[in-house]
Amino acid sequence: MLSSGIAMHNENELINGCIKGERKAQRQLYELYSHKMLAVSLRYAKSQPEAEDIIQEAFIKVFKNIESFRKEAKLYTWIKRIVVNTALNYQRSKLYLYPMVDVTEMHDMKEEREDILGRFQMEEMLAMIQELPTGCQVIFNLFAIEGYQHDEIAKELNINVGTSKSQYARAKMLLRNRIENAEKERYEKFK
Amino acid sequence: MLKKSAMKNLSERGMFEDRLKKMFEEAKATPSNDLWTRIDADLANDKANKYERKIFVYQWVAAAAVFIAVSFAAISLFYQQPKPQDNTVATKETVNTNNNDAPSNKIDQKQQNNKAMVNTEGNNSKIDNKIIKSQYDIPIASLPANKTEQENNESPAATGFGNQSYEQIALANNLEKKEKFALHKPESIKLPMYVHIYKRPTVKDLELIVKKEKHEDKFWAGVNFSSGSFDPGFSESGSSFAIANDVATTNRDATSVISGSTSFKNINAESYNLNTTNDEERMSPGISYTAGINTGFRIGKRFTIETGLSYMENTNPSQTSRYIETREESTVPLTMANYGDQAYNLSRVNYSQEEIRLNNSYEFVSVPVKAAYWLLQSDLSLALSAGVSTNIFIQNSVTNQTTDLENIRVKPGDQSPYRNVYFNGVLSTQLTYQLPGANYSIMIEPSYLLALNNMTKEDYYFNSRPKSFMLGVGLRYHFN
Repeated sequence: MLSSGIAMHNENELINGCIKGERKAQRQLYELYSHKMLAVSLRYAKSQPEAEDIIQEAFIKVFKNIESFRKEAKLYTWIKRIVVNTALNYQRSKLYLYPMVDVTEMHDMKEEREDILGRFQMEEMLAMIQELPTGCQVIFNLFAIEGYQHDEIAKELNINVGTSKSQYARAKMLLRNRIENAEKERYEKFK
Repeated sequence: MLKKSAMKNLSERGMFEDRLKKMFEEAKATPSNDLWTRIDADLANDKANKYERKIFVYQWVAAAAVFIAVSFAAISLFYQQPKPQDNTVATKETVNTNNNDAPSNKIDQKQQNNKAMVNTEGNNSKIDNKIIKSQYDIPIASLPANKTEQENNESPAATGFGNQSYEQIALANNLEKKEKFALHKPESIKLPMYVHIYKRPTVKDLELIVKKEKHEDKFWAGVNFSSGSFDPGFSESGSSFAIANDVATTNRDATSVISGSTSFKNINAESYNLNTTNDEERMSPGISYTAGINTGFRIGKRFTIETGLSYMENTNPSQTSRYIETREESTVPLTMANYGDQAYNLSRVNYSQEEIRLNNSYEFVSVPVKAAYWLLQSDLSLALSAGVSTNIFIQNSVTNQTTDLENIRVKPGDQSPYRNVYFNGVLSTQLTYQLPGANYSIMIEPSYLLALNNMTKEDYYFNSRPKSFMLGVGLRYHFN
């Protein structure tokens, strides 16, 4: 989806241009990563405008701090980390994390239902994730998709590890319920 | 135990998480069209805020520079104002009294006060009835040494000659025009939540100030005009008397040159010491202006070399009470310019009771070469520069307000007391502003010029080290 006017393909050139504050380079960097980053942001947001707000803030941080980018990591990874951190900050005020959920509610969750995901599109899953309570949504994203461990999440969000685990479990349970409901609706439609 | 294991299953990674991660790994979403515009606006706002702070500082720096410059010029002019001169007849009487060849020096005071000028001889004088002739010639070399002492006592201010002292940002810098300021159009803003971006008042202000981030021009050319105070910086030369006396006594037939009761040959060296008299031309500070073309080349990220070609005219008023009649029978004021000539050409020195007010004009072609270091390079740029200006002498004119005395014009050459070329050291501060949407910039430049060598020739009676404080303006065209 890059614009036809992009001349700088070399990532180093792009970074150097951004360091110099060249708007053309900044735009090219945006064009290069905004689509992927918006997908990341959407997982943490409740709507597209909210996700775009996060992206806006994140890219400003990227351009302001690109001098500090060490080329040890991939630029994509570095930008994604900024987007995730921005999203966390954005949602932090809305975070209400239940200390623990009652484990008894989850006793009948069965591992064998995990292949259920294969029948859903990304857009549908995204919509379901966005419908999760903010706390669950954030922890679900961090654990399931970003790959953080619960202790890392707990440290990042300044919560207990147990809270992170329980919130994640709750998120997963809610998602599965929704997936099951969606499957039922589909089944009813084709019946 | 069952509950615990269920919890563990739910909170740990499994196939579900892996599939989900894979699903979102390459996920993409299309941002709305105005997202970049909003980011761009934010970046511009951020830059605007930075410039706003910078501009605030530079405004104060510029204001302080102007204040210092004006204060400096005002103080210089104040101290350079000609002090009250007591060139009364009484002083002249003293001169005559000390001269043994002037027996009738007891001239009635009242009568003398009624006279405008005192001449010494010659019914063929071109001086009108304002210039009244006295009974005695006062040859140039007859000025007694003790006259100086007396006059110094009577009129200390008159000796002041040698002691004179002067002294926004356009937010979308690189956006295409179609995008530029799109955010200002209400129809382009779809989401009310973004309106806060446009509320910043500084943006509009700074639109006027900053368009491009950096000057990347390598070459510019322009015109400039400057004016300011001028101090000719005349002072006595230590060896002037010896030279004049030597020339006069060896190369001239003094008796044929000088008519009157006192022969040039009879004048002793002591009485010929013109430099200690206070009858010499008294210089006041004046003004200087230059107009010309200039050009500059970038030799580094922050360094430029500048040169040009200018016409420079320095003018300053002066007063004298003496005038001379030359061998060519012209009557001219005795000034710094023809001071040397008197030893060779003059027939006599006459004294005027009224001050003869003169206007000196020194014209030069000036070629400055300066190096500038740019402290700030933006639409509003600031540089410090230093260099040397080569001044090629064109002419010196001395005009007077009376119709009785002829004007003096000194051209370059052997007879000129001025060097053909003298050099100025130049220190300046340049403040330039790039006009929006154009390759033109306007420039304001306070500068200080001080002669590095004498404007007058080495063997002349007076040294002159002019100095000027100038305020220049200019227009430049930048070739990108």
